[in-house]
Amino acid sequence: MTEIVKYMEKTVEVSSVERFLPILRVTLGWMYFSAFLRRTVNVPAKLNPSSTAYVGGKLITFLPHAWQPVVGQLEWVLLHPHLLYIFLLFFTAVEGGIFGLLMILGFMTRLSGLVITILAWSIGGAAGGWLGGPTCVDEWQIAAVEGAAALMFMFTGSRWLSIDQYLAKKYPRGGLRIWSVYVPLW
Amino acid sequence: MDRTTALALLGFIIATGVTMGLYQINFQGFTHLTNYSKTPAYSLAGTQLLENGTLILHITRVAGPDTYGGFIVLVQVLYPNGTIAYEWNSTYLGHIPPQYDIINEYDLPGHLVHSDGFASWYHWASLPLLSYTHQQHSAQAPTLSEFTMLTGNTRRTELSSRYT
Repeated sequence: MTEIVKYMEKTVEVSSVERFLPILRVTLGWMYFSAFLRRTVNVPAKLNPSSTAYVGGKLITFLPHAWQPVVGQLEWVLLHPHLLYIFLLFFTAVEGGIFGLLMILGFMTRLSGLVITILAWSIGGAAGGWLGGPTCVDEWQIAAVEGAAALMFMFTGSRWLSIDQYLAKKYPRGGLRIWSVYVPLW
Repeated sequence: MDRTTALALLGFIIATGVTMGLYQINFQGFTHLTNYSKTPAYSLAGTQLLENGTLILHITRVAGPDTYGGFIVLVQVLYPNGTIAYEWNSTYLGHIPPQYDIINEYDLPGHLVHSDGFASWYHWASLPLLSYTHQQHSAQAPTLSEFTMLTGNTRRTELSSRYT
């Protein structure tokens, strides 16, 4: 793996390609970070359980066509609104406040890519199926594109125009060693 | 094949597979495209007409655009031959005391089913329980054979989008 990383860095073509990655990276991060902004700055009512704008209410619309094993869990959460509220706060923080922002800043882009892939494909991408059923094609389209883009960033990273660029200069060998596999963090 | 190529191919296969796979699983896009949010639909499963004339109307909003509420503007109880045994119009439905006669399945204050002076309003509601009683002063309660409900998806399109 180390050799491959070195090989990739040496190849002119790859490093020039890398300069075009922020075009997508910042927009992808913004999709998540702006969700956080909308729920906290623009329309705080989205996180207010007694408002009609409450995001938790969306779960009700998911119910009729959700995959059968999920229906029971959705109902359980809806019948315990305080847990739903805690989950929404946690989810909003992870989704937008943390990994959306990290993606924009390019800090540990690969890790953000992994997390956003999971978020997009599990909550959003499958939302058409295990959550919402065939009700919302455009939401699914958004999530499918975001998931694929984030998966790409998990493999490519995006050093140029990012915090990762400085970290890579300072700690060229920054990464995790999991068993014998070297997993780069930037 | 070096490891980079293998990883790249794996990522390509996973991303494309998830996209194409979910497109078929969720929407049957490669066979018969399905979209449940186009037409509103309601289920009356669980509805009971008691001997004393009390109607327990159990309404579930099972399809329809998420961004609009639904309105129930007419409820009719029919005899088997199709004649109307009793009906509740929009004025009546709009004044059902919510604290006594409407029971919501899920307690999200912003998303409760209620009456608003116009009709009974189903905002976002996909699975509310409207338990609605009315003492009917007729000598004989009709046998429960069929219900018709007229619903409007929004106030403005109420007349044009009525359906049974």
